[in-house]
Amino acid sequence: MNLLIIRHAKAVERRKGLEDASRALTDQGRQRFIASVAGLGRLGVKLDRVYHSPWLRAVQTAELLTPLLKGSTEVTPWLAAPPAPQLLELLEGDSVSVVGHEPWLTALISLLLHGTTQFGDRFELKKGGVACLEGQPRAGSMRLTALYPPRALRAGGDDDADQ
Amino acid sequence: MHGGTTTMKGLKSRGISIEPWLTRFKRALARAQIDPTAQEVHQLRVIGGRLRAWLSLGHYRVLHDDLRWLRQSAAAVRTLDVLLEKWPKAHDVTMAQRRARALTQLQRTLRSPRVTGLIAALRVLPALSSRQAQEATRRLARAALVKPLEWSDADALHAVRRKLRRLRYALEWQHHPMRDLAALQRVLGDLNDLSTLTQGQSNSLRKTRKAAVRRGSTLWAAVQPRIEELAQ
Repeated sequence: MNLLIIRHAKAVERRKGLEDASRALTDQGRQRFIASVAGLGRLGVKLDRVYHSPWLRAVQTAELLTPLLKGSTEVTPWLAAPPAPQLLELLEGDSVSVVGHEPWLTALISLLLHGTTQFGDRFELKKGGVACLEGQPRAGSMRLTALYPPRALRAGGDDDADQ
Repeated sequence: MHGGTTTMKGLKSRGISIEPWLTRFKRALARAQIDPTAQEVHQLRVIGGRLRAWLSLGHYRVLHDDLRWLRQSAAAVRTLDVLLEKWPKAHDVTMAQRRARALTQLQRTLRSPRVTGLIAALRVLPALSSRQAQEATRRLARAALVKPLEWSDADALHAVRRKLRRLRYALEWQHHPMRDLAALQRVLGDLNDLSTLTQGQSNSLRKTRKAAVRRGSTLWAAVQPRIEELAQ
């Protein structure tokens, strides 16, 4: 399996009265991720399946990925929680993407590479960033083939700092 | 319900929230967990279809597959319920057992995390704009225009029925239902149900089918011009 682990794009800031799960992408976050998806397309990425968290920013990010999709999408609450065996058991396909949230995604990367979540803080996955792994989606059975900060995927880039 | 002329101008301009039908969906899911009747299983699928129509109005690609998966999970029970209710002569002693097994499988599906995730995702989706909805309705109307309509081709009729259902739901989401569209959809549904009987059709079933085709042709002639207006 080629697994793309994608953190949701930039979303509106947390604020009182706004439920975390309801935070939408900002216009800038949306536009930048559209450019990142174009970058993934230029790399030849075609996805059999996109799994995504049910939180709005992940739903919207997954929606922006669909031009690369040749198969289906699946929502799962396991991507709005720390990595669990149930998430790994769910994944199927040759070219798969998961869209979720920090710090759980870097914990997932650590789990897939090292068999433990404890090294998650050694990886940095910015909003809209993509980690590419290869192998069987089991603990300690994958290898990291690329780690793309969002700017690297966008054509041209800009001088604004990514968060 | 009112029919009359249906144009893009008539479609109301206001945000379209998923909330009312999502609430019904959650209730239907809860009922389906406790020995649901045939009607309750059917409602679960109908409401799922309405939610898919809302997603289409919003040009969403995500979440369609989850709703389709859920509706397909209920399809086995629904098919058996139709056979048991509409044509008792098709009933045999194992049919009820088959329904019980299909229902057990459906209930297992309804308890899955995927359903939990689906509800959570639908709940946070923002209301749709009327502009989005109107563009989508135009697209659905174009897709629904099939010339000519082949009444002898069960697969073609089924495909048209699905397109008309999507169009009808899209119009109802915008509080602008089209008269006769629901009736046409029911006739096409009856023809589809008739075609699912794999045993040789009796004379009475053939007559039933002929009458349904006549009724369907009349309704199709009535709705076609109005769909053409929407497709402009």
